[in-house]
Amino acid sequence: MAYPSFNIGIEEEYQLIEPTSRELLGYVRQSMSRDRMVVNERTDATDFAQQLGDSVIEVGTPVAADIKEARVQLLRLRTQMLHFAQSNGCRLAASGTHPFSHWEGRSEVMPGYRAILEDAQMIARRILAFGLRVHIGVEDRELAVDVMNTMRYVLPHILCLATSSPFWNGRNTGLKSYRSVLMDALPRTGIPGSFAGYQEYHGYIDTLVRTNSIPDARRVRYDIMPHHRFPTLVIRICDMLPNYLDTLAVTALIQATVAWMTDLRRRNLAFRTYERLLIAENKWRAVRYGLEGKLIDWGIEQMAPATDLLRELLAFVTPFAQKLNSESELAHIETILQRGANAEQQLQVWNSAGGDMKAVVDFIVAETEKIA
Amino acid sequence: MIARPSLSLGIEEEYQIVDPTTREMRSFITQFLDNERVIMVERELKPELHQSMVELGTPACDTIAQLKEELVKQRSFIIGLAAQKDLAVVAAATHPFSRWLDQPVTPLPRYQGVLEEMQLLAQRLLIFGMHVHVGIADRAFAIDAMNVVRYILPHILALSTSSPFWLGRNTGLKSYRSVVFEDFPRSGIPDICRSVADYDNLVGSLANVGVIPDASKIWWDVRPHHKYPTLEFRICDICPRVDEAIAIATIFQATVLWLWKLRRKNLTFRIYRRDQIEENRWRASRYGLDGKMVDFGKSIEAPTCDLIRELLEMISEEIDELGTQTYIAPIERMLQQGSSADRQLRVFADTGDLKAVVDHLIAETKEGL
Repeated sequence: MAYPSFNIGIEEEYQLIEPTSRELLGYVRQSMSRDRMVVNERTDATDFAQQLGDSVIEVGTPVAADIKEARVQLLRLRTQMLHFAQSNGCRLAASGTHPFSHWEGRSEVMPGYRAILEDAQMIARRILAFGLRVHIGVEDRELAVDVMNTMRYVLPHILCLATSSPFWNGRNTGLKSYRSVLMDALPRTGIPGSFAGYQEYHGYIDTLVRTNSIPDARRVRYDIMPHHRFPTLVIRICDMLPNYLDTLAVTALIQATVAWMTDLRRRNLAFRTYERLLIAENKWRAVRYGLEGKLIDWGIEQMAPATDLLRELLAFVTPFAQKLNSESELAHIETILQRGANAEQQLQVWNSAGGDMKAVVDFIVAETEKIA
Repeated sequence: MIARPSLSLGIEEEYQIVDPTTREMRSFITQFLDNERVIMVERELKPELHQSMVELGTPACDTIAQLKEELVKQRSFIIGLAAQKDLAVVAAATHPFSRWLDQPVTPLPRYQGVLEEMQLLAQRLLIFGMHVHVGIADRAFAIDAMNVVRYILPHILALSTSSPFWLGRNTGLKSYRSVVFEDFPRSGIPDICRSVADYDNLVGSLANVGVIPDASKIWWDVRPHHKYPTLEFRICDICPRVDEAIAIATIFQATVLWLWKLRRKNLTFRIYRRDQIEENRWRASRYGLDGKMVDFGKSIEAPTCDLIRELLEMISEEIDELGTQTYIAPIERMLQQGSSADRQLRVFADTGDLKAVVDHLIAETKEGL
């Protein structure tokens, strides 16, 4: 078994906000091919797409060797995005949903998404949801599937830290990550089942392609899976996070967890593989209650506050953070635990502003633009 | 020895109550509500979360013939009851245009609980299904049958699709209901359960930690019922036409018999991964009878209608044995002319008017009573 590089890649999606109405004007996604950013616009009056055509933005975070490099790259990308937004008279927001935009997405989306649109029809049209994708380098494919099986367990815990979509269409959904609900309505999403090995996993994807269920492996979007082309494990359970320090902390946690799972394997140990249904139960609790709720510790079959379980997880993975040079980034998790995740912050702002969604947008923008 | 399943039958249906003038959904249940239950003319009406929704179930029946009789009685009853308040009944899985956010919630404590837990998602659940029970007393065989029968659920869903519209729009899907319901945890195609103990452990784990009170909160597309000795099929959109609902129940009954006979010969239909079956389920939601599904045995795509004909062929001996040939006949008509979703889309294409779709549904719901 080749020892993994634990390289880091971060892919983000940004919203462009009209400063007065706070409406969503457009959004920017990294394209599937990873060599360009793609802008989707709300109206013909704006023409971000053309602006961006002049390659204002150097895209696709290249692979970072460690979290320190990832930090530099993330800041550079976000700074470029901010300048791009500002030069077009917009503000920048990086949350899982826009709190009140009634824009339902458009049919003239990027070519990569057009196929999804045809496949998923109305569901795709309502997906105006923005996620964070974290790649961790796990070159050995067998190991990648092994880590996928076991790491599924902690994804709900990680999601609790990374919720930022409590509002949708101007309503308090009562959930912390409405984006998760929107995404999981698509086929081939959510917590995956476990796979006996890479052969089985590959066979599954292969069957889908051979039977024209999907044009290629990119159409499978589970919360965690080996990337179809890069030698990485992709984790896409997180909402986009406005505060870049949160993004780095969550990334560091994901990386250290992969390292922990790998280490167990090398010592002939394994984190237990649980049934999808049990993990999905915790995911639901994360989606609904976020950090303020309880998750189930399936080892002892008891509920415990999500914050306690996250501190337990931190204790397990902190030794690996030392080796990975990510201790300071990981330390920020404690800040999130005490402060609340972004969704909880949004709800606080909303409450103290007497239910004013614009105030929530202002908060998200301020958090996003706080780059220094 | 595994006892021959009783193959007794029951159908639960969830109906929409609509105003025949505006064609909008209307609150109804609270007008009859007394102490959480409504007992009228020896029938129990079960209030649902939404006031414009009513659930009714037939008693257990020994034969398909009896089941049809009971379902006709049940529908006649609810249509009569609604008519007393100048309202009409629609048996379709979504209302073409009524908005879920405008629908009042039934003021009972248990629904406040559901609302509290599921929040906006609970309100969005203004969807209507048909649940078919087939009697299997032996729990081990019920779990075995559940694993296997998962494979054909997408095929049956394709036949039952009746929810192409949502909030006044053509969703492009044939069963939008089946997608909305997946927002809920513990829904969709279940994973494989290796044994009764495996299933009990799973439910026990959830109940032990208090996330569910009992197995009634497992909302899978097929499940062993928590109270009755039945396997409950929950995949279907409710069918506007009684004869189509009965035809689907006929397939379920014969399939269970077929599986039992296979089992006694030490054979089984192959058991596939949930992800694979979900692929076909998605195709059923999206394309209904009009699309293709994956034949995982051959690992090829084939038209859904062909695969359903294959299924009918496989269970034809059991249909003969049960003497239910006449009840299954509407399936061939559906394969040629489409499901309710296709008919609704045709009405809409002809009239451009969703109110005409509601009228069409009111008429089909009464057909054959």
